[in-house]
Amino acid sequence: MEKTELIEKVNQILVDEFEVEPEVITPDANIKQALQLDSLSIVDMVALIEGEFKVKIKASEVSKLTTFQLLYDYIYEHYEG
Amino acid sequence: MTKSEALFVNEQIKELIPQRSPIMMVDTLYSATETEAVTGLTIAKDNLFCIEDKFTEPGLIEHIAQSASALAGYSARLIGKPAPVGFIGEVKKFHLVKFPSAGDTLTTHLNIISVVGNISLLQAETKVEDDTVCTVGMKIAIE
Amino acid sequence: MNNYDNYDYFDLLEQKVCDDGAVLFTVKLNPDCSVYQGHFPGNPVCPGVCNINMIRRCIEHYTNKKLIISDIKQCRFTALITPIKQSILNLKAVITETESGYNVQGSVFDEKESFIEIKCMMYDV
Repeated sequence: MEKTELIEKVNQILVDEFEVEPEVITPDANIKQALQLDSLSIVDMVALIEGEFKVKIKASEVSKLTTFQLLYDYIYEHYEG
Repeated sequence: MTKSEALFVNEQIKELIPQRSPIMMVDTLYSATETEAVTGLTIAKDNLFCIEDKFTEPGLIEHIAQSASALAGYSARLIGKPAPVGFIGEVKKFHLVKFPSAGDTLTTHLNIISVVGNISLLQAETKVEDDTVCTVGMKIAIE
Repeated sequence: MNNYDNYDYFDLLEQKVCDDGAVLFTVKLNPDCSVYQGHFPGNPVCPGVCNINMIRRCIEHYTNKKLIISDIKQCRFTALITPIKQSILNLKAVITETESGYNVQGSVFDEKESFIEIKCMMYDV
């Protein structure tokens, strides 16, 4: 899957799951703020991404993925497809 | 799997979970891996959550939460740590199929889907023999 | 208030319908309830499931029906409740009738904090 296609897919599933406007998702935006995530709902995002792209996001890695761009890069790097 | 082959049974469960009578809702840990567990409970007639011999919704949810706690306790023991205290952070998509009755033995299959910080997201299904009793997603916050 | 449960968890002090149609319940937790002997020894903490059951009992009282919780879409426990520190609690519930029973959207809070947000479906027995 091309990176642009992957980014589109990530954005789509996040918009659907967290019921936010697509415009809030920009590469440099902070994920937690854009999706209004708290300590309880972050794990939903991780589970969604892991399930959709068959990647494992180590618990220690999650705190580093602060912006959408970092998330895209991480998935693209670890995604076999 | 029968109780005799289980990892932890009855009194031994106290080593895995902090809850005590009258709200101990797991009596068997059949098997466990890092992310999965199979647990059980034989429902006593005087169980705290039995009403007219029906084991009710709070009992089912607490049984599943304590199943997750038992897994966390088992994993902690493997690395020489004490059993942690955990709380239900969120119940998601609980669906009741039917009430089990006093005397029934519940078997619960639980798997941990993701963990972030001290929050683990799990999915569980509870059966009596082959009949599904309920399914639920749950987040447990481990202290 | 203990019509069905084997444990005496709370008393319903007051129930009133708000202007927006939601129902506001005021409840008092019973710190001597037997559940605290095991949850946890020497450290009483309200079990989340007993709070869910308390919410159901309030809705049963308001609707005057015996209700089963068939589905919980989501129930978030945002802060721990202890029966001593938080003995008086409010439950505000939007109760919408459906063909098989009720959709309930509720939150449990006191003046300082919000403790529980719940969306569930209940049906008449």
